Amino acid sequence: MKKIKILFFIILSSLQLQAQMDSNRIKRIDSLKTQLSLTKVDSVRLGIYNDLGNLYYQVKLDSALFYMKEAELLCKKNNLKLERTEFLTSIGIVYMIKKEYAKSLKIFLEIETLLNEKKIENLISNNVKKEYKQFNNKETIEIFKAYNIFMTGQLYGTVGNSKKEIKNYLETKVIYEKYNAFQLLRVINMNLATYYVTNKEYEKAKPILNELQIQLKNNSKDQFLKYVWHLYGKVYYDEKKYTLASKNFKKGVEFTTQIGSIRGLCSVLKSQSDLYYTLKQYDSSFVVSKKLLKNSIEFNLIESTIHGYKILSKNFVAIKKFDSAYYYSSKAIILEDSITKSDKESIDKFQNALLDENLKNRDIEINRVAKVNNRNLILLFFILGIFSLIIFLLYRNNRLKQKSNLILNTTLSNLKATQTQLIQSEKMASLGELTAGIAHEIQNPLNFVNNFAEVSNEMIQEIKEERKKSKEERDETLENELLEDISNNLEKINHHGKRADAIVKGMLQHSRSSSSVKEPTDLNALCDEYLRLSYHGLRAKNKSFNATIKIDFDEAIGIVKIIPQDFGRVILNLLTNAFYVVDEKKQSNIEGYEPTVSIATKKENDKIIITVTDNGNGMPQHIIDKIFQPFFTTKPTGKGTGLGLSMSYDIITKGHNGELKVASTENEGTTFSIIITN
Amino acid sequence: MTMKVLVVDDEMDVKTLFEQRFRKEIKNKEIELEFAFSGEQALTYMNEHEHEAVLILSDINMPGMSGLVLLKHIKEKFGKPPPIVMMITAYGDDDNYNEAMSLGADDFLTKPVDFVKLKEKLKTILS
Repeated sequence: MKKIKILFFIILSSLQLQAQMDSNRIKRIDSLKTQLSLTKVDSVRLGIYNDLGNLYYQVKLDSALFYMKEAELLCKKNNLKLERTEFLTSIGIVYMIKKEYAKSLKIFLEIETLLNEKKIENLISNNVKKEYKQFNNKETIEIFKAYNIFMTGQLYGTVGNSKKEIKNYLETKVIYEKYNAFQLLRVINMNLATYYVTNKEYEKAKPILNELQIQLKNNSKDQFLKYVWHLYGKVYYDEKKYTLASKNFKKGVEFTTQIGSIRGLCSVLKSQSDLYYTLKQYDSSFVVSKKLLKNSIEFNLIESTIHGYKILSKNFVAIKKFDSAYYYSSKAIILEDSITKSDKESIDKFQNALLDENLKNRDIEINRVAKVNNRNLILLFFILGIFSLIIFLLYRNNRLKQKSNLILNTTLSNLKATQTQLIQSEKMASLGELTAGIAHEIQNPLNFVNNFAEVSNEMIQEIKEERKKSKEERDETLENELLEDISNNLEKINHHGKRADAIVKGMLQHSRSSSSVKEPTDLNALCDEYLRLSYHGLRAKNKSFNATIKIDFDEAIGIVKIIPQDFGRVILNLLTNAFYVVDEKKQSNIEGYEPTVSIATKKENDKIIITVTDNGNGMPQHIIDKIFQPFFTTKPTGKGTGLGLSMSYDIITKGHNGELKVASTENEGTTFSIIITN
Repeated sequence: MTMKVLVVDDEMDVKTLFEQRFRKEIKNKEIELEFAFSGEQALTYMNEHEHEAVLILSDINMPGMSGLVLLKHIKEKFGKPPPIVMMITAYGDDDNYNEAMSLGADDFLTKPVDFVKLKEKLKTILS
């Protein structure tokens, strides 16, 4: 219930109440001091400091200040932020009552700083949470802040800045209304009413007073609301409704006496003495003034004392006892001078503190702006740096790209050159395979050319000899026979000459770059030609090699549009491979093995299928998977380029939009099928 | 006595050439020419005329059964009377020459066939 106690501080400060230093109070203070000496538990000590502070506050401000400061330090030590602000508030109030306004201001500013700390809503203790259970953490902080605004408003009011005072009160009221903080709202309303009454703004004061009075009727045990009587009394007094005023002042006196509040009592007595003087009830006014002076002097309430002296003096004037009147008047003036001087000093100090604070705030603002500018500048440099880095990276990337492109272009050119060389190498390699076959193929027609020429010449000689004979001896039948043979021979010479010519042309075509132009070609003849070339080529290299060749050409194929050099290359390649594998198998001396290579052509609808089959060792699947890859070869190093089948595959699939398929069974053989559409 | 000569070559025109070259010998019945256009055909002929004295003139490079395989078969199979086998192959083919000789070839001729020489050889054999 600490908060409630603190709330009383405020009320006390605002209404200038003070309690008597009665025996009960002294007993309680002693008891608390004993408890304090026996415990080292911070939470218990904090409670005792709070109670001592409250008890002393009403009778001995310096002692109250001491215990409040102890409590505040303990909170600081235990990081109890909100509890600390509560004790700081109490300290600020005490300074305010002691008229040490600058110190008070410093305290309220310190509270403001504390409450504006980052994430303070996460540092609320369970005790505070329990106390403010109807509010969430953020709302609790807002309420604490509003409370500090309210206190600062009181301070401004005390030093005479009523504009700032009312502004702060109204600001606080809005926040309390927003969060429906009823208990706090009645405090702010009471202070607002006090303000309006003091400043004689009764139209504004009355609705608030009425509201407070209704609340009091509904809850007659609420002691706090009873301060409303004194305020009503003041209003009635100013409105010259003296009976009503008197009635309310009496209630005020009774109430403050009942709760033992000397400050509150003195405040009402001031009003009551004024009323009696106004009503020319000087005796009553004397009695009240004396009572006022007794209490105010005892508890050093200077303003009340001055008031007491003044009203007493006025009463003496009224009854024409001028000496006494002068005596009290002089006392009032001396006291007033001293207080005015001390007040002035306090207010000057406050103004200086305020000025310092403003200057400090200005410095903070300048520093903040400078920091923001610095941060912006750093940010700007950082962004510029990032931009520069990006530009640099882009530039570098570009350069690298250009370099890479150059390297890639060079590599591409090299690759193209290498590819051309490889293709040429493959052509030359297959040409090498063919050389012996070609030699054999050319040799045969040449032999025929020579032999037929030779025999024809002999026949001509024979004819000539025959013609030398007499008519009777001449055998004309023989002559005719010989002439016929010569004629045939010439045809044969021509035929074999052309045959040799075709072979040479074929060889040249094979080594030349492909024209890539499809030409009508006798596919069967092409297959036959390359079959011979490949067979004899292998035979020329390996004399022991022999193989059975099976030919099955479908005559229905006729003329097919193909790129003859390229297609021949494929046929040659497939046949060379077939001969190679059957020869290889033959080397393993398998009994009864007859190396056989078959070539067949077949027309199926618009499709033409050329198959080359061998009865070699066949291939496992993992080899089949790779055979069309460039540079893959199963032949020993130096025997194959590994390009034959990959080139063949390209020629058939890309050059002729056909298919090149392979089917192989291990130990049984392999069949390559070329499928093209005519 | 007529000498029977079996010419084995895959080139059909060999027949014409030999018939023209040996016109006189054929006419005078000194020689009788038979032709086979593959090793297999030659073997068939030999099987059909097993005990005939025959001179075989065979090319080596032929599709299917080569001349050397044919030579091997003949030398293994036909002993009575032992056929005379002369092998003909392309110029400078020393490997085939050696192999033919090791298989029992009686003589060796290189292409283009020198018919004058061939005739002399045949005459020597005949005599």
